[in-house]
Amino acid sequence: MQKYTLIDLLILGVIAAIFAIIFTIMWTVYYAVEASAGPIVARLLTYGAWFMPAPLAATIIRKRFSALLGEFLPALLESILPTPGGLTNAVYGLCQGLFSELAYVATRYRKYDVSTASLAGALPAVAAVSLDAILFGDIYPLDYMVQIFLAIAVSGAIYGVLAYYIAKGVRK
Amino acid sequence: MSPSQCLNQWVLSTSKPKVATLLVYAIASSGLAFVLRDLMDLLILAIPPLILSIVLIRGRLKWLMLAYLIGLIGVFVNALFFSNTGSTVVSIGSLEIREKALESFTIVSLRLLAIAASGALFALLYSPVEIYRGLLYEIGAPVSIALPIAFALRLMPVIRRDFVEVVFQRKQRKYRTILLNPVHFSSVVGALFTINYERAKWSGISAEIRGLRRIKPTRNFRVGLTDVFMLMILLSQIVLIIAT
Repeated sequence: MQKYTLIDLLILGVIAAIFAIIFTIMWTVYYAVEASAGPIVARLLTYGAWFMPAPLAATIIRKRFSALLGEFLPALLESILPTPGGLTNAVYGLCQGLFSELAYVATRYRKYDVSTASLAGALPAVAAVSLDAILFGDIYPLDYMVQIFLAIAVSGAIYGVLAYYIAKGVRK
Repeated sequence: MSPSQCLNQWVLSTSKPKVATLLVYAIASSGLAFVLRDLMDLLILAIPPLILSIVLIRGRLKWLMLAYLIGLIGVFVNALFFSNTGSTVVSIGSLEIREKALESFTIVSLRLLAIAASGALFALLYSPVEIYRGLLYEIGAPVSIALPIAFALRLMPVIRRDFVEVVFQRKQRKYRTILLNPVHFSSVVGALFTINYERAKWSGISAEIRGLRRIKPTRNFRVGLTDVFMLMILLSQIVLIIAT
């Protein structure tokens, strides 16, 4: 297994700091969009932002568990800052990071292209929907659940593609 | 001096609970909040950390509670959209608020209150650096977690300044300053990341040239009186929840 260099860890630190700040701001944006446009549009426009650090970290660092660490560390930092979500943020980060990592596991850590990044952005939707159902009681009729899941997955895929292009721009 | 001021002085001046103790407390509270659905159980879970947070943290808690109250708007909208069934309780114009929506709102609000209060106790009683030291020396977190967190905490004021600068530049160009969609979002994150990627790279190179080595620190954890006090509170909450 490739070892993490000091620079890799510091890049993870940068991703953690940027996204901890962004995550804190996104709560307000999410609630504002939800109040004005409803829960499904809010999820479509904003949820992917919470999944973005995983494909960003993986595309930049290209080592095992970089997606997991990229997602978990900002969530842990967000819990330390703190936000009303408390330590559940870290739980969300850990679960979403694990699902994101699956996209790279599926390619045996050989492909770090745009399709893998979008899949790494979309897969955490499974964790998010499950945890939302357990924590917030977001369990609805099947058609609603499918709409919510699709909105989150599409949002994640879009933000995953954006993460890929940001990482590509930095790697040049 | 009032009893709450005495307690505040005693805890803060003599011995704060260890970071590890409050982390265990916050994890246990958050975990229980995930599974409990009964109103009384959630009240038992939420009230003790809320009282402790008010007594021990005071001023800094206001902002968190404000964020919590803003969050409740979203919880209410969610309840209205997805759980508005049963008999009508309140009717405002064409909007009917039904029994299940209120029930769902109350349960989720209490759940969030328990999580926010225990999280606040953990996060606001210490400075971020104290939490980092606690993670490293008391819990023995791996370097791959502790080092990025330490660097992130060091970098956050700089990134906040960069963020304000990027938003200001967007404003100057008459672009939207609130990040409402993925395109706005990526233009801000892209700029922040490009600047700070260089910072991380050169900080890493500089540290490696100076011969920084990653040495695993020795763990040091002694249970104090306040740690026992916190664990007793947690235990009594669990006993009360089981009893009710």
